[in-house]
Amino acid sequence: MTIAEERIDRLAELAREAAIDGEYDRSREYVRLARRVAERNRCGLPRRFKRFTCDDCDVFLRPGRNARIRLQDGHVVVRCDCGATKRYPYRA
Amino acid sequence: MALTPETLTRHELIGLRVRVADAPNPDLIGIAGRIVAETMQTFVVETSEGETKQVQKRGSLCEFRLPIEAPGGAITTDTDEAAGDRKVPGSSSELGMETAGVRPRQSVPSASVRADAASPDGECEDGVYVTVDATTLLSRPAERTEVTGDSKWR
Repeated sequence: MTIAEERIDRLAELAREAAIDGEYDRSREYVRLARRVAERNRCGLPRRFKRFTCDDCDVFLRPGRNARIRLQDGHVVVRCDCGATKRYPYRA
Repeated sequence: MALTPETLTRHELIGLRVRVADAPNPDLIGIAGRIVAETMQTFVVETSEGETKQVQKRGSLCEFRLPIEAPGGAITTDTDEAAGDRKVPGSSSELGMETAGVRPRQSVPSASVRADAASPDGECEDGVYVTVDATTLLSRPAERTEVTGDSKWR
C-alpha cells in the first residue's frame, strides 16, 4: 500500500469525522485533498470513497444526515443536501 | 507504507497531534493541538480550547505525535525496517530530514528528526514523538507524497 493510498484512507476517515461533527466545509476540504492526491498519484479512489462523497459539493455523505438514499429498479439513488444526485447500479 | 518517522514528511499530517517547539513568532511557540488543515506555508492547529491557530511552517520546529498502531515495542522495529528498505537520494525537499539518526538513543543532537518510542510498560504517553524542522514540510499538501519521485511516471 503506497503512501498516497494511505493518505486517501486517512483523509476519508477525517472527512467522515468532520461531517459527523457538522463541520461540512472542513469535510469538503479533506475530500478535495484526497481527490487531488489520487489524481496526482494516479491511484484512483476506493469505491467506498466514491459512493459516500458528493461529486458536486465534495461533502462526505452520511445517509440519513446529509444524504437521502433510495433504491429504485436496479440502481441506488443518492441525493445530497446540495441537490446533486448520484446513481449506481446494484444487482438484486 | 505506514506512517513512521521516515515517511512523516510525505504522509498526511492532518489529524496528527502537534506541538510547536520553536517558531519565528514567539507567540506561536507552545501551541499544541490537532492539525485540522494544511496549506503550502502553514498549518492550522486546533487547540484543546477549540480555538484554531495558524502556524507558519517556515523556520519553525514542530513536534508530532504519531499514533502507535502495533501494541508494545513493535514500533521501533517498524521504524528501523522503514529506514532500511528505501534509500532516498538527496532531494531539495528532503534537505532537513536525517533518516540515519532516528533510532532512539542513537540520534545525533543536530539531527532534525528524533523519535522516542514509548516504552512498552506505558511509562509515558502513547505515541512516538518526532520533531521535524517544519521548513522541510513547505510544499503543497497534495504534492508532498510524490516529491521523492517514486512515481512510476517519472
